[in-house]
Amino acid sequence: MVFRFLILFLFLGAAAAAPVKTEHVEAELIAERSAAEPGKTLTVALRLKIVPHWHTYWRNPGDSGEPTALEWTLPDGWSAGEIRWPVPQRLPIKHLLNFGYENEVLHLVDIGVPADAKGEVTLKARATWLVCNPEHCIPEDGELSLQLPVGPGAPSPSAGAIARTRDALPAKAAGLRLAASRSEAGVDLEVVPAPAALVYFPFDQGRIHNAGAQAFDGKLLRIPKALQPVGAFTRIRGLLVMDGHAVEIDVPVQGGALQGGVAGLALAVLLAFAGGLILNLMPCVLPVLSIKILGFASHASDRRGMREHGALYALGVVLSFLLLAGVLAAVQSFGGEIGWGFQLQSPVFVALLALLFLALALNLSGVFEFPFLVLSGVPELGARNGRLDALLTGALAVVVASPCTAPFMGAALGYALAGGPAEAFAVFAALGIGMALPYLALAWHPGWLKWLPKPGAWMVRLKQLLAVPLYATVLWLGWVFALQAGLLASPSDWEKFSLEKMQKYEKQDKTVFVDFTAAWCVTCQVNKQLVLRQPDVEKALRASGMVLLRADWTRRDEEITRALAALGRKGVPVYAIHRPGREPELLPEILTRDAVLAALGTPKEASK
Amino acid sequence: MKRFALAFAFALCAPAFAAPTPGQPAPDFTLSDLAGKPVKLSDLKGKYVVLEWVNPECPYVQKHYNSANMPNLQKEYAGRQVTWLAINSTREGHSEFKSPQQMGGWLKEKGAAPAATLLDRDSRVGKLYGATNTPQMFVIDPKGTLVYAGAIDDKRSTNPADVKTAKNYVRVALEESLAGKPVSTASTTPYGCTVKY
Repeated sequence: MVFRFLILFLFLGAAAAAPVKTEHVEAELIAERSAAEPGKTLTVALRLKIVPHWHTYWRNPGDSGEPTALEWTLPDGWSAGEIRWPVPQRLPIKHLLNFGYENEVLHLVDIGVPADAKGEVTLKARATWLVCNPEHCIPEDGELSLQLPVGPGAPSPSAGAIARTRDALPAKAAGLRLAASRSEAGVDLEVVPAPAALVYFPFDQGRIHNAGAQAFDGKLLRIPKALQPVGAFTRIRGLLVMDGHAVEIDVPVQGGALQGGVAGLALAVLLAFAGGLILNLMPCVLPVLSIKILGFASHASDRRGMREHGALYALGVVLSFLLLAGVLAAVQSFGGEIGWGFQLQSPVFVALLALLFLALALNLSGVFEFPFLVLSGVPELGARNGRLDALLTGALAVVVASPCTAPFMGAALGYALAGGPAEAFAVFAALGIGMALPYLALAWHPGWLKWLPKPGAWMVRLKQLLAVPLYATVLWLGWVFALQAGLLASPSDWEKFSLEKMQKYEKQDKTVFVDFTAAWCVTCQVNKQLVLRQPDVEKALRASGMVLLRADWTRRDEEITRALAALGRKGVPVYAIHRPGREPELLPEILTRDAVLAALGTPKEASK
Repeated sequence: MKRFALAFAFALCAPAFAAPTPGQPAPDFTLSDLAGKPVKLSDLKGKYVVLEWVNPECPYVQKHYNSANMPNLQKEYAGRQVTWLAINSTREGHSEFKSPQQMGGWLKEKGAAPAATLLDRDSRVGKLYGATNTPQMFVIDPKGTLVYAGAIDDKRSTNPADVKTAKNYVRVALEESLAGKPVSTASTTPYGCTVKY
């Protein structure tokens, strides 16, 4: 064997590897090219030739078994990626089912070749696999190595087999619309456009009944839940194999508080309306609007003009929200992951917003008068730009409101974005109407403001006072911008969130507290200061033994967007406690000390 | 009506696939031990009971016996009034089936000490509990309620060295139960060989 290998090496002077033969498997490392090119990625594969009627396992082995694993030993600077798993077979054994491979399988791994590599390289890996037939299981392993020259090289004799394997790998699910909802028996997955045939392979163990029938009626794939479920079935992660090809999917399972249907929509609309009303009281909106409203009293005589102005303002607000809904729906239809507050994830937008607030604040302090619109008071009747001015004021109100996701809005927006475009427009319209209503009402009945003193010097002073929160907003936006631009490091003793970490801790059966936050989210910052940073809460969090993860959404982050979607949310703040084997628990958006301590179960502990 | 239909459908499925989950009552069964003496689960009410699915031919089971992990657990908790039942659901006629003599000899060789070892010749009890793997573990409290179902530990391998660093779920479940606390990790995905149905 060794002799033959030496001869082969002498003759070809190229890729050389020693296959390892066990009782049931012949294992070998093969490379796509005859040499490893510096600075490039080289695809290598673990090829397992398995004796008939025996099988090895996929990343999720199913009801038993163990995935094949590779442990690399590489020279400094070289790197190896994860195994890229081919689509497995369903291997039934009586009433149980495994996912694995028979006959021959190639496990592709991308090797990163350093730019300064030279000479030749030996890639070493210890492979371990479990090989079974319906009767027996044998754990086997092999020390594998592959010797290659460093250089440009040419396609190797294995190039064809590796390319074929790569072509058949699961692709990203582009152009598919997927929606999953909880049912009595498990989860219903809707796939549009519908393929002729469909099978789901789960990445996670303990979620689905592997051997159970997956019925596909041309619209819905009914996936039966595990008989003895482990962990929460909140996502459909895995492969969809259909019409001869496979795609990788990760879809949140809907079925939280806001279920679909008319009742769900009505509730979402109601919540959005209430959220809109509350937006008016947020520190980013209140100063701007109150100045305008104070002006109403002095114009009380011109009722028709006032009403027109109020109506146009309301129109401006609602249209702006509908525009936002349109943007969100458009981005989503192109497969983008996006959530509420997305515009604040752009440093450019934040910088512009900071400048706008600065201008507004300077204006209120009387440093300069705006040449146009907004704060000049109620426009003169019949003035050329009066109507446009009112519309733009509405739009401006929406822009300045964007940092303040008001309470109640999280669930409603999550619903809007998870549903179709129609739901999104309904919810955003409700939000706009809620926000515009107080202003419109006062424009309609300026008499309600009669109790105010006559306009005079007190208004100048009030303006100056109201400028203070605006300056604070400028400072805060500057801080957000600095974080986004990487000028400041976000100070935090929490671990940084990643889906990989979540899975790791889930496997270790750890309880995980996730704080979904963003620097631009006012409610998040308030919660952090008034609750999470309080000494007794910090102590309780430490004592709970939970893993504390902070998902910082200040910048665009698809993983966090997906994690939020899994909880049925599209905005921050969200506080989620993931306990092993249970549905995640969500804390209220407006955190209170008691709510956190109760969720941690600490009052009892503390008294001991 | 719908609920009735569902209940009816469930009743039809129940004999084949009743798979109890933690919090539910542990289904009763009677099996013979290696001496042929019947052991009835409901007779053990008032005691903590561990059910261990075992198959001497399975490399994952061997990991826990060759490292003395399983025998040590059996002895340790026998001293604390926990009744340990090892169940072999390998179907009679399967090439890995063990006679009572073979089973007894193997257990003795490994220094194992379950309160009883039960042969489930027709795999009926394995199906009743939805056992899929060997090893697979269930912990039952004195009221007869299932408090843990799943893997022996969190190192899903055949490497005996992993036993030292693994988190043993059965130990945690027993310690918490014996201390009157709820079990923090009540269900995990078992790992190992397929039960030889």
